[in-house]
Amino acid sequence: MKKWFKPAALIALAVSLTAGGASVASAASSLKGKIVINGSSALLPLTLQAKSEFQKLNPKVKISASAVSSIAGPQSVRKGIADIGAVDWDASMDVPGFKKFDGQVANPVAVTVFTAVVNKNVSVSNLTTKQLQDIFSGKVTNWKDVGGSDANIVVVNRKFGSGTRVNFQLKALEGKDFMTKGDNYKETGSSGDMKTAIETTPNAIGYIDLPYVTDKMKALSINGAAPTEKNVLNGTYKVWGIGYFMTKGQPTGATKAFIEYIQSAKFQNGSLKKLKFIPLAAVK
Amino acid sequence: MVMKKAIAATILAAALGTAAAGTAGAAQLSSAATAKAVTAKAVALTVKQSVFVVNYNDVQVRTALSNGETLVSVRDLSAAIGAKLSAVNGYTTLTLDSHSFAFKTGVKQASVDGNIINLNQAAKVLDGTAFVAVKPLVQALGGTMALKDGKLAINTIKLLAGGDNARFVNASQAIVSVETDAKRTDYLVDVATGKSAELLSSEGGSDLIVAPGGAKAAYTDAEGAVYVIDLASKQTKQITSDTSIKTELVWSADGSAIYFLQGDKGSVIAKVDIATGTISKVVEDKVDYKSALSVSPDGKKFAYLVTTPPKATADGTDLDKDTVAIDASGEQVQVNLYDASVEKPAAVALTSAKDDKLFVVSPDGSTVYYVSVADENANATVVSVDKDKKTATLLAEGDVEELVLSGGKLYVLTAVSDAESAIYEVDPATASKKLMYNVSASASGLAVNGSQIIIALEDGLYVNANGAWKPVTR
Repeated sequence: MKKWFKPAALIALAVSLTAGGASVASAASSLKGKIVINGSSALLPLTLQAKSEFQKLNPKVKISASAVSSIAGPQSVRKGIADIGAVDWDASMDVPGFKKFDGQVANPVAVTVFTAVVNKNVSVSNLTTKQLQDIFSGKVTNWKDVGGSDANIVVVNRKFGSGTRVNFQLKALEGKDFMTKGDNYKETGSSGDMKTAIETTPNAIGYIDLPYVTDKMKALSINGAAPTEKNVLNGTYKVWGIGYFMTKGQPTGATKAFIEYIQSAKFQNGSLKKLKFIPLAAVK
Repeated sequence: MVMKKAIAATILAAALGTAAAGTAGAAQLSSAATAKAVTAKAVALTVKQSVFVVNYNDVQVRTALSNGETLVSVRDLSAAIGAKLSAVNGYTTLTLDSHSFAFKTGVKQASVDGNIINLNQAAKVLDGTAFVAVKPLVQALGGTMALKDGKLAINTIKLLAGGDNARFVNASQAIVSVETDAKRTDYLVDVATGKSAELLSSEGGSDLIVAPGGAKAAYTDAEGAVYVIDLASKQTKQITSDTSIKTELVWSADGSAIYFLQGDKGSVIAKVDIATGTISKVVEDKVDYKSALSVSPDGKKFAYLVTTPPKATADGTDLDKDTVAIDASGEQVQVNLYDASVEKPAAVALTSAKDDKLFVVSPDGSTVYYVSVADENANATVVSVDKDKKTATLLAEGDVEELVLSGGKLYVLTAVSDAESAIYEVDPATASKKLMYNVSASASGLAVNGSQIIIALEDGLYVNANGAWKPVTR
């Protein structure tokens, strides 16, 4: 309906039909600025989609979005190289393994569903929490021990600092430790790398956020519940978390406008759901 | 509704009865006498045929001038505005949407939505039909009145509230969306009258993408399944239940297929056959972050943007050291062209400049037009690039805000001052441009269908009709 943040002084309801030529050209005032975003690779597709839509409303706002890991988000804000740090947990509070980032404000943007995934050649479709704990700790090493074929399990883990790893460990493994080394163990640096590893490694198991799941892998049910929005909302699927945009203090200017756009009903109910995230309002 | 009419009539009767409490006989006598006097007096009034402009259409109605007021045939006006007429116990009730107007000939009061109002003069019977003063009747039914070209213009169409994101379906209709916190409802709106009808209500569905010809539209639900809705019958058909992420839908020129970008990163260009629901991959080159897809009429050429994000690195071994770094030297958004008709198809980057590229359109899948934003302090311009990577600036008037393609021509909304924006038509074949309109700086949401233009202002959507802007939503 309206341009997002055109100055109020420019808001004129009347439409004039002017005969003759154009007025003298000069740049119209509108929201300007540059927003640098870094952090969670799980949130990057969402950020880039929002960027594409937001820039059509505010062409003079340049948005530079990159990703490496969740912890790099608030670190980038603290270091002063990003305006927004995308992270898969509330980094303004202590969480296991990570201290809070003082002075940063956690702006919630999306609910992310995380899922255990396996290579297409794995016949198992459901694992219990105990089975997941045993596999990711290295206690169970063969698929036949959890109802699958006789084949060694390849465990693919995310590196320390990953928000997906934090959420998966807390909610799928209920805090149990990961294995850290072994012949059939590997670590990946980003959601994209995890996707590639699972797609291309027979007998592999890993975990990823739902938007990254492709038809070249299989998302597992956990304790009989498939990783769907419906099961998150009815409480049967527990492995989800809220993604945040961390800012140094309360956001202002273009950064504030961009966060408000992502939090708007139009984006939350539209593109955000299309990308298989869950609107914030759905879990309140 | 019948109950409501009856109640309205009862309330009116009760109110009139109260005035004669305790003297029912006298009241009846008085009422009968009044009616008789009115009927006798009415003989002197002249009934004539008049032309009203009712909901933008000329309509013949019978009128009479009485005591300086225009009376209108209740039957004629109710037919013109689509109100329902009913009679209960001598009271006539008109109902339109949520409003009602009940009256009795010879009585100087009426019931409006159940509340009694006084009339300047009682309803009369002339030439065997009831006449009521037009103004209180129209106002009671929620309509507005104005003089237009010497004719009385009556509008009872309720404009859609909160409409946004207009897309033309054909010359007379547009799809308009209304967003709430919980859902989005799409309406078909008659752009001539503003009359709207609900088309589809969805939670998490994509925008409706109108097919060539305007007979149907496609959308995805929140799970990614693709549907097509017939815009005339409003019947919806699921085309595929495939739940892969589909970020953009583009109709084929013949309406037989829908192309889409597949996956969370839009890495794959795929298409679904409307008749069979079969999905096939068209371009799978492992290049992530495609967007703004255009497809040539022959389905062979694909133009799109490719975003290369900055490269970020972090050594997470010592969190307190903040070793994170962002290298933005390779960050860019470029127009790519993929020609599937050549022997060894491969994507070719047509552009190399590091400007932001918005509102990308391509009528033929080869020459691409877009809004170029070099930086926040430079005016945005309309730029073209052809398959040979030759770029040209097509429009540099003002600070370009939006670009749409319609009928092979480009329509540009550009800010020309702090108070005004302008709408230009650009013919890409000749690079000629024509200023069409100057509009408020708050204008946005440009939609074009031939000579018809819809824009969004702060208080609703407006359509240009013969040089004048007319509201289609509020």
